[in-house]
Amino acid sequence: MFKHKKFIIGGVIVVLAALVLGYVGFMGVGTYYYNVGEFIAKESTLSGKTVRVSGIVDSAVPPVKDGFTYRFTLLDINDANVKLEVVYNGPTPPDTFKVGQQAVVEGKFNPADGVFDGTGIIVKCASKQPAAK
Amino acid sequence: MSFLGNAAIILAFLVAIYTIASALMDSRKNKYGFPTNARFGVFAVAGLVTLAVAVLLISLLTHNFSLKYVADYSSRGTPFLYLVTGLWAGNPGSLLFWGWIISLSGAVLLWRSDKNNKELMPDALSVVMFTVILFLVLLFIDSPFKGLSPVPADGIGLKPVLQNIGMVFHPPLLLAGYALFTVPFALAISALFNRKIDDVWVTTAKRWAIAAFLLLGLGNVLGMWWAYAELGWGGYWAWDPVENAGLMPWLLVTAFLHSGMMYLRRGMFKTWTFILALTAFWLTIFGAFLTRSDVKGSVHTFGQTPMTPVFIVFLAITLVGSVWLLLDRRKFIKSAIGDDSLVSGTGTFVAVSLLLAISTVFIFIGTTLPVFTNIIPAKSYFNIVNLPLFLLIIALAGVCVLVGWKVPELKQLGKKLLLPLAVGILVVIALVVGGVNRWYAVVPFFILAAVLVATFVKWSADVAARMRGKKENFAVAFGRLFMASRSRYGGYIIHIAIVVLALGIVGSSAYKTQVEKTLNVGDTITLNGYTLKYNGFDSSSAPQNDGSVWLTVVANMDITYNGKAIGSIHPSQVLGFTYSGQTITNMSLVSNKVAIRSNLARDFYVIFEDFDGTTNQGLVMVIVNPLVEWIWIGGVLLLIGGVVSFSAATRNLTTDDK
Repeated sequence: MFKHKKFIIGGVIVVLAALVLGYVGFMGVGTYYYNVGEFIAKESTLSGKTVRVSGIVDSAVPPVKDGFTYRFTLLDINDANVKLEVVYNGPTPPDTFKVGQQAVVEGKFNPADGVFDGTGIIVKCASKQPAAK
Repeated sequence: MSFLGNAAIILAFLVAIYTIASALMDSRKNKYGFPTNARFGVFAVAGLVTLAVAVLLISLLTHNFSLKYVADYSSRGTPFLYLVTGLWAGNPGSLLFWGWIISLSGAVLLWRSDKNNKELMPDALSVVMFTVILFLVLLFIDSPFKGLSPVPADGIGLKPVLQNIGMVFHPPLLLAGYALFTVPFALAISALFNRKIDDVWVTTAKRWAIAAFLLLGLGNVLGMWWAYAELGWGGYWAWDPVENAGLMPWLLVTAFLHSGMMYLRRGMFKTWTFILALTAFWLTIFGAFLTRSDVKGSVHTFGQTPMTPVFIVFLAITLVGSVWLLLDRRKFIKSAIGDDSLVSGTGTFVAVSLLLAISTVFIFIGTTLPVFTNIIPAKSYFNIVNLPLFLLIIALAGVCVLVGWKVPELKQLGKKLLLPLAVGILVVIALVVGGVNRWYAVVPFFILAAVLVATFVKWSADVAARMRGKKENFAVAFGRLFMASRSRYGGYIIHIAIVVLALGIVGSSAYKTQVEKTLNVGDTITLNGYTLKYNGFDSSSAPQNDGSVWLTVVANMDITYNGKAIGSIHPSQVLGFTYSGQTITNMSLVSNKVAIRSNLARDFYVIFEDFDGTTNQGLVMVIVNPLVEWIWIGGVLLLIGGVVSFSAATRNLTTDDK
């Protein structure tokens, strides 16, 4: 394919530069993501770290809006007995946030009161969800 | 209706299988003439899938709630326009639409290109039919024609956030763009399989690729516009899996178009062109899979469906088949070895396609990482990796127009670069004097200015040469040259569109400022010369069909710019409450309307994020987004340039392509 030496050398330089670029980009990696169950199992090592936790919004305890604070409970996606209490401060949760539906909350675990302090609820693209039940 | 729709899908499935069998077997017998039976089959499949689409559309328009899909995505109160968009609002509908466009593409390919591609047709159309079958099987799993009993009196309706003009065009453009690229893929496979590694397949594939490029580009820009105007988080791009699924194929289609031009003009880099065609298609289907299966960490999915195994089988077959064909036929792919210089047209074209491919690889890694690990890459990963790549690509667009095709006269190139570089430096000086001194804004603005000038320099030099040669005045020379070389100048307009788009992206990402505050009635926020005064909110509630109550909360705010009043704005929220007796059992946001005041220099963007019913306080986010409007202007230029290029590509080639 690249029979031309100049192009091979040029191409190799570009690819190497790109690898460096990718490495630099990855230094700032990202957020860890857990299900409720996974998160609770690792709670002690994760307290204080910003993570995303995914679960089902418990319909037995409907979310409560108190001023700008929202309280709700997340259930593990596989085991509804595994629960995480969340206190969330911030904008009104997005329209995809509904009891009985999956939600992803970003925040930190507060070992003092055993509650997850949510700082953000991840917005889902509304076009790509199952129809409301 | 349910029966008719399902029957059309099942019949289309059977006819598609028959068509493949007939195309593959009969054509071998009668030496590469396209068999009549298969010809009938291709058109019949297109007709049957069209029938299925018509059934769904009529059901939506006539409020036929005996179909679950219709009840889920429309209601009696849904405006006409959004009844039509219901066609692609849900998973099964969007799959039907996608499969429909592929089936039509097959029919158009056979109708328009049979004469020039006789030997390629049977296998190419078999590949198209095979892809149609994938979508029909997916429709068996999640059918839009599922019945609903008892039939409800009214439907649930289309989500308010989807009732936006951007959502009318964004999904069908993207879906059609994905679908159209099935044809270049099918032609590439057929060319490899039949050892017909000549110009024929690329020439035909190019037209389809230009159309796909245009549709995907517009679809992505409209998606950005919708996210910006409707989703209400102040941005337009989040490197979300669904966005990436739309971006990656677009990048590779762009790479294919550039590599394909070298294939056609210089006979070089043929294997690379094949790889790009095969990968771009694979990524369209992979994107469908990624967004329709419950990939861990993706916040953007349709929810869990049993479609996963079907996608995996199809993706595995196409991947293994493509790799095998490339390896097995490699000795038939004879690329020319030119004496082209690295800094020639050839050099810049190959560099652009390589850089686009590298960017795609990085985006692919970042997008699929959450599938295999617990890590969601930060947005900064995508930005850090792509900023230099995209800038280099844009810079090359400037170099490319100024250099000769094979070997540039370096002295001449130096002279030609003088004006663009000078203007670029002047722009930098002006920016720094004006207080714009962040390097990640200054460097891009330098490149954008230089590329813009380089493009105009080349264009005006072309016109000037014609004015001298043909003794025409400027307008006549410009017009005739443009009409004669539409593929070249369509390309230039697209380059200008990308520069303008990049201007908006750089400005709004490098100099975006925002403030979030809890405001008492009468409080103000000041940001970049704008002052916002919060005057509290009005609320009203209205009962809904489904028994819930919608609470609409409209904020009242006055804004001034540098002390001058520029009016009132009313961002709002609608909350839905469900009751059981007197207790609230559910509460969720229905819609969030932002308020935007735009001009060409900046947008003033206000989100009414939350309110406190007892204290009348509001949580308000104020954002000043410089140059955002240029992104949408770039989108319009992209449309113009794309249409010009496409109009050139669909007439007889030979005139200006060689």
